[in-house]
Amino acid sequence: MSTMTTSGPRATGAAERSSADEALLSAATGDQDAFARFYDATVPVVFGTVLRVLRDHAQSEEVVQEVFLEAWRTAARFDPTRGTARGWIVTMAHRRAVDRVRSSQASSDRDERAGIREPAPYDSVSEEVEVLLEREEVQRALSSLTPVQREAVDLAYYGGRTHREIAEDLRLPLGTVKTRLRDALIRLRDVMGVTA
Amino acid sequence: MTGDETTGRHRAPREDADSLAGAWALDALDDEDRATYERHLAASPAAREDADELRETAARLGAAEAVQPPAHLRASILAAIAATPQERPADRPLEVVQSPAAAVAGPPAAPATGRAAEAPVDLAAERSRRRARPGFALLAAAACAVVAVGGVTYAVDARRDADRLQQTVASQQAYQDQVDSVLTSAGARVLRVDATGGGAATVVHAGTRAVVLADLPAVSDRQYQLWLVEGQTLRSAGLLPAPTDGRATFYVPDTGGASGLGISVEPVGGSQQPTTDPILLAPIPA
Repeated sequence: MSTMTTSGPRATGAAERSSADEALLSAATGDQDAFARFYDATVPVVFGTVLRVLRDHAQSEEVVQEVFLEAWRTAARFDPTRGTARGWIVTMAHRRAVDRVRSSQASSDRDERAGIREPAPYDSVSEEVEVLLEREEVQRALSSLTPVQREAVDLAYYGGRTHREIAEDLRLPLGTVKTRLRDALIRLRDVMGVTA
Repeated sequence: MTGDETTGRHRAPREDADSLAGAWALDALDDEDRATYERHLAASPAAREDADELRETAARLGAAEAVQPPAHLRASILAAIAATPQERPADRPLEVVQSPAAAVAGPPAAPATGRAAEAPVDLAAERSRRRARPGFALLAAAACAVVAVGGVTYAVDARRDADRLQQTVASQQAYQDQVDSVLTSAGARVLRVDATGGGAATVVHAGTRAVVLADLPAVSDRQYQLWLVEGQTLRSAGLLPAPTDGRATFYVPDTGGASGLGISVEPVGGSQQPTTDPILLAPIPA
């Protein structure tokens, strides 16, 4: 594939996804109960993503609070034709987490914990078959990447490294890193059948 | 085309920009690169669509990381949003904003959106109150916040006095920042207390700061006053804006050594000491 192509019409995906979409659309009109449903449907993934990047529970909780407040304030900006509600808030959460990692204080805090994967004092989301299936699907998709693609995705998405930093770290030309990240995501998109 | 290191593919600027799609979707661009790339996206709907898909893909990686957060997080987030005005689409007229909530909420006090009929904000009155009693800028801002939270009809004579609006917006933002910093504090403690005669308040403490999210019956010729309980005495911590539908957010910058927070109904302008029994008392956790 020489360029990215648009794969098919914009469609909504799984049922759980559209319920989060509906909830956020209602929340945009001031419906606080709907926002609570949106929170319930998305918070495990939001919290898990932030925690994976920051590796610190207290900081992660702060970011999750901030991001849900932002989601409430800006709910009217959510455009369901451009993606899912969950994708929308996970994107905002990830961005905030990465911003924290890149701020010097956060990175020094984090370096002290580098390599330590804290045992989660909170329950991982389990039991729900849907969640397990999705987790499995993502893991399967990740395992379809080449090792170097996987490494670049991990450094970028979970490590909060910029593509320039990754190029330096791995002593690779910048263009190689760009391509690697893009090809990796295209691969993940195709394996998971993401249409936005 | 141009001299070219890759076989059979010319490297037009567009394609070069597109090569950043993966890094962009993974948040792996610094601010400058991101701005450059997003300008490209703004100019190219096709690139935008592709980029959206990759971003959605990246966001799904989190599904493998799902972790249930502690339960108190839900309570404080839902308390926080109740106090937080929502952005309105930019194309709405400024003078009277009719939110979609009002259209679907049905009769006033429909439970889905809560209180429907909001009193218009009289900015002139707010301003004179601010003059009369320094420190009430926050209250004026609170009134604005409350009105926006209710998400119904409110009127601002914005065009007649743009400066005033700007001032209000600025103080509203400053106020909101204070409130947010309490509500999002990692150690925040949330307490919901019912009021005598209906309504309730959620009190969020973070250290010696507190936020009171009042949801009380409407009053027009009276004013809710907030008190700090210090031993046997009550010290005024301020007045909720009036007239009010009873919904207000109140920031208390320093609760001192108070053991509790109370609210009473007082004559407009407030009292030195409560003239009625408090309708609500919330303990301040030590």
